[in-house]
Amino acid sequence: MSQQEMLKGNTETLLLSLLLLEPMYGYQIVKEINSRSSGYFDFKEGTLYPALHRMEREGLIEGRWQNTPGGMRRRYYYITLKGRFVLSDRQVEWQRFSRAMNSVIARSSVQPEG
Amino acid sequence: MVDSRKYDYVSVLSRHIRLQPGKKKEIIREIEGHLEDKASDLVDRGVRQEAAKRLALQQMGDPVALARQIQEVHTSVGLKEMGLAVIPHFLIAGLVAFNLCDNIPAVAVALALIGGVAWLNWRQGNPSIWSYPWLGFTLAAPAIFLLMLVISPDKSLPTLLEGGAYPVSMTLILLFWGYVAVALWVMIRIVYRVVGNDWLLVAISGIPIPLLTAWVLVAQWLDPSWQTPLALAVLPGAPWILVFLSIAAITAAFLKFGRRHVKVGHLLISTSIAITIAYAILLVNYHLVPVRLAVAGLMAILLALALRKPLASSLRVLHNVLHTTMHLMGK
Repeated sequence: MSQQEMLKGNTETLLLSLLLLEPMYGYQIVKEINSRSSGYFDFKEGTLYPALHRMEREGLIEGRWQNTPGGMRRRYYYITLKGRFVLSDRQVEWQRFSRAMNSVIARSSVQPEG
Repeated sequence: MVDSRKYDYVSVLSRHIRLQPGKKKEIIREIEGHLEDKASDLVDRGVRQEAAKRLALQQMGDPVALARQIQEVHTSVGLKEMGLAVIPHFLIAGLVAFNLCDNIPAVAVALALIGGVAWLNWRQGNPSIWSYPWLGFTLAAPAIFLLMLVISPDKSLPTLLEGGAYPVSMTLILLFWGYVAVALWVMIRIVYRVVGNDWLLVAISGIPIPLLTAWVLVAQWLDPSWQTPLALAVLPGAPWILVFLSIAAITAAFLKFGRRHVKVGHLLISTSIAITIAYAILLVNYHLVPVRLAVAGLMAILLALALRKPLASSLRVLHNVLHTTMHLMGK
């Protein structure tokens, strides 16, 4: 599975995790994901807004127009109570998934040929 | 100086997002903000300004694809909204099922309920998608009334209400006229506004209108003096209940489909089938001129709405060609 495919399935969890820390606007989110993953997640910027808007329609986040510290008007996204519950479920599921994956992968590591 | 590349990008985006002006403006402003932030960030990192603007647009991706995804998000509905969207179809099917089409209080209550819900949704200028079928039924009543006036001016509804199968008081007639006038005014305003944003939503409002129209046309054809109650004039109710339930299913599927071209295809094919079945149920005379006109009219409206933009741009091109030719000939 490519990195993009893995990212696609977990975009909501990533976004909710970030917004739990503090409300952010679109570009700030892209920068933050990039910086926290040390550039591993090459987030396609065009896919961010449909994802944010979908989450807002589902009531997981809420957008509000506010001024940035630099005085620019930007739409900040806040995590809602429903978003917190969903994130909590996803985190538990992710931990179970990664434990199971690790336990399988760790026993069958492949040595590169040559 | 206006950044023409960004302007072009935003123009394409704006052309392909068919939402209410306020919502659309907000989305465009958000994307523009992102492009500005990205370009300014790249400049801070040493990229030349022109290159930074170009890179910012590249990173955002194809504007048509972005617009399509945003459009799908904002027009998709959940099960609850689908349920709300089909309620008016069930209400009308219920009126037919319980033979209440001639029962003025029952029809008035149903109309008031449907109209009230539509009004509540539209008064703040930000209607939910599920409210469009409610709006369609609200507007169907004055549309049918006008049709009755046109096809049978001497024996139409006023005559019918006073002396025909529906003897009622003058107060009720005046109230009805008032309702028709207000509904027509609302219809013109709303249709004008919605067609400008998204003709497809007008189409789902309009699905019941050709069917109800066919009902009235055939009733009038069977009994030009309007002495037979409307429900009895047009055969038994059971097939009609199925027709209204099938429109409910068409509406629900329309709301569930994400891709716009699938919605358009579904609407044209399923509605044509439903109308054909409805006319086949009526069976009275399939070659009846008004019935044929109703089908042709519906198709013409749907196609004209769908082809509105391509037609307008073709006309513009033709105009420019003619203008240039005239100019060259003048020289």
